[in-house]
Amino acid sequence: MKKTKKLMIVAALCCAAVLPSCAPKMPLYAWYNYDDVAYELMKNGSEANEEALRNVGIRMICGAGKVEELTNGGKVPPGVYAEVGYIYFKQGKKDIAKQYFEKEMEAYPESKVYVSLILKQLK
Amino acid sequence: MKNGILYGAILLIALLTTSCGISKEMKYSAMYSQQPTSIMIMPPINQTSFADAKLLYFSSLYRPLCEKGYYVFSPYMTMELLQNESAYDAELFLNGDLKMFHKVLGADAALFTVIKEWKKATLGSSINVDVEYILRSTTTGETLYQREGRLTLDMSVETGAGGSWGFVADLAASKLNQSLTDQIEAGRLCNIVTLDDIPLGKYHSEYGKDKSVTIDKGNVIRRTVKENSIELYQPENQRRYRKLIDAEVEKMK
Repeated sequence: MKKTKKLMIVAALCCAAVLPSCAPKMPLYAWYNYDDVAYELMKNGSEANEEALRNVGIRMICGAGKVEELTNGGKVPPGVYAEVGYIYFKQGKKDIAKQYFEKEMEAYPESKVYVSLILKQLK
Repeated sequence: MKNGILYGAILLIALLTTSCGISKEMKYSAMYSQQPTSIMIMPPINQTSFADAKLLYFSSLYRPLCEKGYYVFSPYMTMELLQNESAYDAELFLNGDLKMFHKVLGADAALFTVIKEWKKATLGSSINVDVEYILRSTTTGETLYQREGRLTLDMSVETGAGGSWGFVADLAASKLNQSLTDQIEAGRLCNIVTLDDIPLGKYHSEYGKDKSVTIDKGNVIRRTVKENSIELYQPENQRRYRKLIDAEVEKMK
């Protein structure tokens, strides 16, 4: 009996050593269909594809809080505010672009060097 | 007897956790000592005849790196910047000075990818992808991370026709599936599988806690993956997310 108990402990220890790597992973961010739209735009830089990426970015920004429990905190992925701002900038909507660039710097300080450079061009 | 079982358990656990492995901290010591937080993706170096591979790869690296906890510069913005500065050819920088990227973008590291193979099997229904990933510091120039992923996407379909005609029916069904979607999935899976053991970045909840995790000692990761299994590697439910996000946006209108 004692031997069976020991064997069970051994089996449990072995499982504990192996199982963590199999645990389901929680994604950090919700991506909507970002990959597909970004690929289309990089392949064909048309205004329609730029508009599509901007719209996906806006949806990701608006919806991030909504999927908080399904992701790791409901944050907007790095670079998305900046990308939306950049497309607005290219479309000549400088005031809206500025707001998005500022949000990027606020959420991700790592973006400051690059985004500040673009902001200089807005002036 | 008592000691025998105990030693047996310790030995078994040691074997399960350390065989053929090395800790992340030992393999990627430069990565842990320099702790890069921001990464720029360089345009992939395409050594294959599959022309779409370059852009396909350029756009697909962003998401897996963000999911590992790094600040990653938008590949679309990076592409436009590099094109405007006539710096779109990554081969010029693979062994060169990267300090300008630290100065202009504020990037701590640059990720290079060399696409070595992208091949559809002639008769069988599979795609072989071979890509090397090299992450270099933009300040010291040091290689922080290097891995090569050799992935086979198995697209064989079983029709259930059976008999001597079954093989022909299976082959025809497989051929119909060989579209660009498969090429895209092969590339994305190769990224996810290969970059899986990169040390976690600042924005990951496990940041700094993964040093002792055991990973493959060698530089080459080989995997064969069945088609349509991308959700196994990205366990988020895309449709559920999209539905929730759409509902939220509708409310705001």
